[in-house]
Amino acid sequence: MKHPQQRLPRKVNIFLPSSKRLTTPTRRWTDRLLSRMGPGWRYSPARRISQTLCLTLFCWLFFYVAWPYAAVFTETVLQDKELLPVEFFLWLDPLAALTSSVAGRQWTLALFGMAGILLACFLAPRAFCGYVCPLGTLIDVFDWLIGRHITRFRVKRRGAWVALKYYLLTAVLTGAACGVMLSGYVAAIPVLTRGFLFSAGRIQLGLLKGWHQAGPMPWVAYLSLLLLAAIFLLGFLGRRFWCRYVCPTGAVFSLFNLIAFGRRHVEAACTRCGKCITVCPFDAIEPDYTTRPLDCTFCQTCGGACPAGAIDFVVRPDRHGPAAAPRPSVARPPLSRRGFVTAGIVGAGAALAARLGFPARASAATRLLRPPGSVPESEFLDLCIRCGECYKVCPGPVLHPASLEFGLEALWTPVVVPSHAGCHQDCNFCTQVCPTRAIRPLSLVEKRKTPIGLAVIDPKTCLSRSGQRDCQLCFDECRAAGYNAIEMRRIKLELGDIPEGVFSDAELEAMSSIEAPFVNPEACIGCGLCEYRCHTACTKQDKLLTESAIRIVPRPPEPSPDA
Amino acid sequence: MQKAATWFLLSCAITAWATIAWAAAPLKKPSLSDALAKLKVPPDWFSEVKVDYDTSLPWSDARLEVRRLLSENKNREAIKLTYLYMQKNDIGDGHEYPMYLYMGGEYAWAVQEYRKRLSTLPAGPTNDYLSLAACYRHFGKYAQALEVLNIALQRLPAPPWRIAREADIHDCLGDIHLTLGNVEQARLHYLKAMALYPKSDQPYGRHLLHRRVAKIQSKLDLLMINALGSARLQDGTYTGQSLGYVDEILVTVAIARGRIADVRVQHKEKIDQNATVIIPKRIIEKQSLKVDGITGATITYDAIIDATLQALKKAGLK
Repeated sequence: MKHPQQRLPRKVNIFLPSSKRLTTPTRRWTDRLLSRMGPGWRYSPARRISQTLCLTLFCWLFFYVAWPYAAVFTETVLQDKELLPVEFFLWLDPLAALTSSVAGRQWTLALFGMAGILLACFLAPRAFCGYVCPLGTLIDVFDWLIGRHITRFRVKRRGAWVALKYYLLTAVLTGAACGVMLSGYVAAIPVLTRGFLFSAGRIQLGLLKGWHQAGPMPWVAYLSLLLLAAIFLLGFLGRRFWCRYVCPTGAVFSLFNLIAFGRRHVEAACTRCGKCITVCPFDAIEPDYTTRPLDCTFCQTCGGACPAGAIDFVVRPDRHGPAAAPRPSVARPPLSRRGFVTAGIVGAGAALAARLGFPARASAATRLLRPPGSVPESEFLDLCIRCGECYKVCPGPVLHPASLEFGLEALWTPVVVPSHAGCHQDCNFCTQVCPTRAIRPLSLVEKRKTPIGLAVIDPKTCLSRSGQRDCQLCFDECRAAGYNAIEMRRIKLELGDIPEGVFSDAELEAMSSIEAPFVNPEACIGCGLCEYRCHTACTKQDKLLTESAIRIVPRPPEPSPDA
Repeated sequence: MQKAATWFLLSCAITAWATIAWAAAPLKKPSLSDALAKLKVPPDWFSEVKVDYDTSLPWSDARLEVRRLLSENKNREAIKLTYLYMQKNDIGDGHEYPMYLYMGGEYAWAVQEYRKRLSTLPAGPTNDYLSLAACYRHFGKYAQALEVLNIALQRLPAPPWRIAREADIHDCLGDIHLTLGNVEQARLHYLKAMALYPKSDQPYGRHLLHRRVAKIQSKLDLLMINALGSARLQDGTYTGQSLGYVDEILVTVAIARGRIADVRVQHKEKIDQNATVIIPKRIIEKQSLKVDGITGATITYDAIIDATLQALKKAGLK
């Protein structure tokens, strides 16, 4: 429907036109430099600069801001460095926000990030993928370094691939609707942060703090790395193959493109040379030079490449141009009804499988040690997007990815492993960075009162409780941390027949008693400093025990108020 | 655990330090012969001390009262009560009579009673010998104390108590030799005791064995730390280890021209409040292991000091 008073389209061209004559030496020099850096840089330098900046920002947040170690350990170690929140990019992932809200049946802070980025996408459709996404940028780097040299696996025809990301999105959303969080496994940013964590993050920890501190690599970490590696390897099938056909986060943006204002517009000056089709990294141009609006990321590379200067980017729908009239890709939506239904069933099935893989969901709270401030277990599983930020900022680290022993649904969620480190009394970092607030923000004072679990001493193995020798490592630890949840009590030891006169009274008294630790459950929050100490000193170092005599166990669930 | 008990070392060190300081001070001891000559049994002060206890009760009850009185520092009441039961001849096998005299501070009287008692007893009452030796030490009669202890070594109790008591006697011998200034002798006795304790097959009180070992270790360490000022250290690099918060802390000490030239710490501590940098600096500055600690990193501090000491031992510190 043509609006009678429709204004002329407003151009938002930020590409570097190739048709412009190189008038000044500066321009010529810039042009030569950019050409050397590659066609992407030459045709749309703004996009490349934005990508570089965003990747730098991502790395800065990941490696520098989310680095919890400092010469002197205080509560504000992260805050002092935070110009942008650590979880900034995770907030920008609309799929993570959407699914955690849907699966968790609640409003999450990440929805603001999603609203923000989608608002921006009104003007520049799917620009996140072209300009911001650090995963996309890394894929670009991979494609440039390796992918472009290996062409034998290239996919020639789009075919059924086009539909894949929508099916994946459908599956993830169906899963979320069924109350199971699946986006953590496939959404772009969580996949990237988690993959980074288990690779570059571990290398950072190993190089700067020592390899022992990273601890042994859990096999589920390899799984996560494999996923990230697979995403890069998809580059052999085509440029930005993951982004174009697989990424469900990209699918959200693609669908949003249908209602966006921004458009690529081809003018009549088009000479049909085909350069734009070759140069488009997202395969968003039809053979007839019209745009596939679901795929265009507004990267404007085609604009820069066009020798005729026939391509413009506009923020109003323009229906005058000859090339814009038929939109076959919109006319033929990529989802077939059968595919859609299948994807829905797969999503629900995956949700069911995850549930079945973790049948004791309700009683999970009795099995898992979650970070302090975590929401109740079943809610936690729905909100947690498995991004791994909490492990990254955890000094020690105390938090490790859950393995499959806790069920499929808990895969990669953070669990407290006190035998690797105790939760430091002056740290609340994990509560500061959770993008979906599966771990609620806690002040240090609150954190020190928030239970993670409960320390339990085995009287049979504990060195002093069993009367073997003096040991108060756990007591010292607990007192030093300021919890004072362990007290030393004098306990009686049975004495048998001892001949008179061999020992003094004082010696007999000493023989018949020992100071031994007892946990006060009221004061104990289960930080695990005691278990860590017992584990390192008595088990690993002195080999007096086969396993720590004091262990953190999950607390029994609080009785509900009406019970 | 021997190493892990460094916290224990510190508390013991204070005790041991007091012992050594006391030994180094010019000695002015009361004379045993004078005290024995003046000794009257029962003593004159008995008339001034009132015993508020029903002496018709059996000794098994009364001994508890005696211990209570001793613990409240009412020594004279305790001794008078013990004496009354002695007169009644209701005092078990009698070993407690001199023991309470000794515990109540009546050293000369205790010496007299122990001498009588030990001449008639079969082997075994090690505690009596140790107490008598302690009485002799009180009067500065170190030769006699050594003699008593040597007799005690000949008359050890039967197994399973034999080994631990033998070790206790060596510990005591070490203390006396140290008082006499025979550092080398003292060290030998301490080492003997340290070697014996872990071998003890006693069925009860086994937790005390580790405590004793740690205590003697701390005495030996302190001897060495004190000797550092005048020690002749061999030039070279030496390493020592001790358990820190996370894992073994490895300290490499470089000795150049007999001085501690460099102390390097290899560690796996996760949060050390910079102790691994500051403590070595302080050690080099002061050329001593008696340096100030760091709040929040006590375990790391203890381990660095201990590991440095282990390294210095290899450099010839004795």
